[in-house]
Amino acid sequence: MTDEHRDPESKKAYQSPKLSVISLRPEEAVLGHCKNASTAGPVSTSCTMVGPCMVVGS
Amino acid sequence: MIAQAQQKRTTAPPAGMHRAWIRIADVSIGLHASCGEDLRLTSEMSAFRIGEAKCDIEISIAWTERLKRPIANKLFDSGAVWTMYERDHGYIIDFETPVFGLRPYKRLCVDRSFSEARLLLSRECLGELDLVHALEYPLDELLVTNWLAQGKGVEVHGCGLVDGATGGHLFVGHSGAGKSTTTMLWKSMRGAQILSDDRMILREQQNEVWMHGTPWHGEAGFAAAGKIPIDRIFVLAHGSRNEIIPLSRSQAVGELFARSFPPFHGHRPLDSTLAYLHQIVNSVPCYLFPFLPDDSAVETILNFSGQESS
Repeated sequence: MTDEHRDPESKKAYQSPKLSVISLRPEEAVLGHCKNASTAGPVSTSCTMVGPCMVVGS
Repeated sequence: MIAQAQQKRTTAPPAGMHRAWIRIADVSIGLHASCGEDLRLTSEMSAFRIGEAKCDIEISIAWTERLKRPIANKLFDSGAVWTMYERDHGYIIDFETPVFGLRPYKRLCVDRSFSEARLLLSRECLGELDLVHALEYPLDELLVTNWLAQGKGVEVHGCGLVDGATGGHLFVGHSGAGKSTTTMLWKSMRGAQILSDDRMILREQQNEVWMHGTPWHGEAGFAAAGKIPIDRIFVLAHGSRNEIIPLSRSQAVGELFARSFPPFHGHRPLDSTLAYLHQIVNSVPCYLFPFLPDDSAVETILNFSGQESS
């Protein structure tokens, strides 16, 4: 197809690439931590739970 | 890429073993042990128990006197209770807690496809406990998410609910974004069935995206073994008003990835998870949903659903 046969209105306007910032939460994405009153992060050394956790990294 | 039909395993355990089966997000898991008590399930997991089935994953459970840290290539340290090592033909996932000192209290030895596993419980650490749930979190969730990360699905941090009139709704969000609030609003206003208030699994089935409930609930405590197709995904955020903002596919993949649980120990499972999220957003539009924590949030979604279907 030659240029004179292309419809100029069908061309999309150029949009330059955009960078977006995505907030990552590694302490949530890595399984194994629990949420309690003092932390939402990984199980701390003070955790003495071995039985079932009621709140799984919520 | 459409998910392939699952190849069910047919490996049978030795005669005389006790057996149990569970199914999470259409992933069938067979357990066997020489003692029936070792197959004890938590109350949440009991809702996912099924009858005898051909399984995608088989786990044998046994006791050993003591476990020592393995001499193996460490792949990933979660910073929580589990650490992953590489071994011949598979992986070792050790579980430790300072309660028992610097030795594993249980160990999962699994093949590279996460289809066959041997779970060893340390008698030195756990032998005196009255109640031991061998599959106790996070082992169960680790096994399933790693199996899914072979192009078979993805687990997301989100709440999934079924409204009688408008069908399935999935709201994904970080901790504190409002998942439990959302489930309570829909439960009280619409009597919605809540599949989970914290963890949902997405899988493609017959060219549709289905969301599945899981046993791993949040503060609101909802966990149900149900599933339903979805036709949109909302990303929760705190807002000064209710808004529904379309996300581009690339934005949607990024936002879903940030709210998913991909295995981080290697590039293959990460690549697979990203590819799967691409498939999902190609099928299902995603929207950012800043919302007010009151009934108006539910009305906003219902009005949006009504506009889309009209």
